[in-house]
Amino acid sequence: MKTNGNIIISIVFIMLISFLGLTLLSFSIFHTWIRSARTLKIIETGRMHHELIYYLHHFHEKIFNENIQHFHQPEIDYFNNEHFPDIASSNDNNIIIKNSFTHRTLSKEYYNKIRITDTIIVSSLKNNYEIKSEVFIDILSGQIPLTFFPFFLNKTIDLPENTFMEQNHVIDKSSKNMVINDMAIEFDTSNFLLDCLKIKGSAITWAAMREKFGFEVSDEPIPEGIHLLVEDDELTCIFIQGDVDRLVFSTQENVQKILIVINGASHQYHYKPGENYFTSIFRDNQNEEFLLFKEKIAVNGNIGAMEQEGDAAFTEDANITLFCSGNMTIRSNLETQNLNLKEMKSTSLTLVCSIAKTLNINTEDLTPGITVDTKEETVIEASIIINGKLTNKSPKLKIKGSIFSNDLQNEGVIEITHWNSKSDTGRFFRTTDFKYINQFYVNAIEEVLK
Amino acid sequence: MIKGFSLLEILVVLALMSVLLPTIISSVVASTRCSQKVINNQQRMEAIFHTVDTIRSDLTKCGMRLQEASHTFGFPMFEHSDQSLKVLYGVDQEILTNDCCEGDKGIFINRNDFFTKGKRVLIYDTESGKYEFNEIKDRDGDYLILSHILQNNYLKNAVVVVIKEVEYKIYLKQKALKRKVNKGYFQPLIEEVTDFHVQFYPESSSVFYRIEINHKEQIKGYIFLVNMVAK
Repeated sequence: MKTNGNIIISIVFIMLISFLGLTLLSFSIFHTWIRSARTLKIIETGRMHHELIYYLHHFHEKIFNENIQHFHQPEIDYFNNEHFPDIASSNDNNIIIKNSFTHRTLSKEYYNKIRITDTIIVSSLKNNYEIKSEVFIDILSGQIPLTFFPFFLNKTIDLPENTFMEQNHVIDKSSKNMVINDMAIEFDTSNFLLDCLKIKGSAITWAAMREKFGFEVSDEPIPEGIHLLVEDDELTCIFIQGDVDRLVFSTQENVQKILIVINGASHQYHYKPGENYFTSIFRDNQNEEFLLFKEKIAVNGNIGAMEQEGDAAFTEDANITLFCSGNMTIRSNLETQNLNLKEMKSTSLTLVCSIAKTLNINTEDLTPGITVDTKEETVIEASIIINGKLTNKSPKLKIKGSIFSNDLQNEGVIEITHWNSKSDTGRFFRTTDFKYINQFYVNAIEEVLK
Repeated sequence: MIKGFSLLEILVVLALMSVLLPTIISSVVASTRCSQKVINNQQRMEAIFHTVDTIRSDLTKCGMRLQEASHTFGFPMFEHSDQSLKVLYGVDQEILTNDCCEGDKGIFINRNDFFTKGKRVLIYDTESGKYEFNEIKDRDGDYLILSHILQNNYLKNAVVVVIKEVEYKIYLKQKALKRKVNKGYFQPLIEEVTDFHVQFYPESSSVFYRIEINHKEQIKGYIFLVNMVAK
């Protein structure tokens, strides 16, 4: 009996089953390969990312610990492959890290801003991908405005900087270097006052000031009290000759209020920053004027107490420059109004404390300096420049701005978050030739095909 | 002489076939179903892997080339709600090769292939504190014609970044997680999604995400936003 039909059916059946089986198998194998390759890629890329982050920390630490004053042109002499050669990872020899540097220079009036771009490539023999990272390092070189440093102590110390900061409880919250360096500083108080008072000349003198304020010209100081310098619908400066008992800042919506108390008498000034609105109140006399206040206040004397009344001392648009030739005692917070809860980046108050040599011939009564005398945690939002000593008696002083001083006495903790100054005081108060790493940004980290 | 099958033979064959055929057919159907199930599972896994890789890639790039601008001007690079997330990053950047003024219709930069028609750009200058978003209308060599006239003055060396905005959103009725790039439409990334949850931890600059498939499986993980922390 012939059985041909059965054999054919059997063969067809076996082929069909085999085909299905093979398809399924190859499909599974194919996907297993993909999955395995993906897993390997993820592991290797993760390892490379890890190495890059580790390297970036090391790189950041290295450059911030380097004294770049030793390099004439750090962008060329320091940021090169001699100081940052290609290296193999210490954890995995398959991973290589390479740096390449470029730079461009932006010239400012007194200093250069040099942006160094370091392209870091992390590659692995086991991966078709590389991790590419772009790092920006901004160096300021030349005569740098003093408000650009979060903390600058112009003094010689015997200790390493970090030890001094630790011992004196000074903490930086801006990831920037604090500077302790005894160096010549361009501290041009005379020209600063000439600019405030819009007086032409090379040095501030009583004669020039008397002429400006309309007194008989002589070398005698102007009378004690408050003098308003008004020119062309502008209130250029409020000049106070003699000591001030209290100086109180407060706000009411967008109106900036200043209360000056001298010998027990109160003088109030209200104005809107940037607008022609100025009101002065003395006793019962209120005098409203169509004046634009340029927000400059100069005190040739001591300020007994500087305070904030209410929730904020300054309006958001305020940009007050306060000069004091003697000692100034801060007795409360000094904060800027933040109605829109924006992240603030610049200060509304620039404090300058220095003797004006040509005005203060007898300097026994004046010791320029700022004392923060409060019993609790105090927040001061200001750019502070003192040609003298900073004394902190507060248990915790939070400075949002900057500090430059020649000496420091700290009885608590000083915490500094660097904010820029709205005022351009760099024309008068700046370093001599100096180099400073201002910013460090990791601009990009991305995976790229080899 | 036998010229064909006998009735008996046919009956036997039919009887055998009636027993064998259902067995064959059922085993073929079973193996087809099995293979389809395996294929479906693998395709779902592929879709999941693709989704995770895409989210990971976008989140890892979040803030790339925008840290300086974001730090200076304070615009967000990462936004999220319970069931959506949006990331912003720079694809490439150049600097202005000429000064340009408010009201200008275009800008000059070095030739760069990423700067093409239709791309969104961010122009900023940290010195003057000015920035604006714009779009490339056309390109003529080194000159980019912008869709909107410039709102500010910019000096030479101001930065121009080609930006990419990616948004993820769950469509619960369609059970789909969709992704949108710039001004495009939302495109499905993975289907059968019943929940999508995102949590941002600013202190550690990390994001926790969870995708739930058919109320059964959950894909979750933490992603470290490397381009948002490294200052």
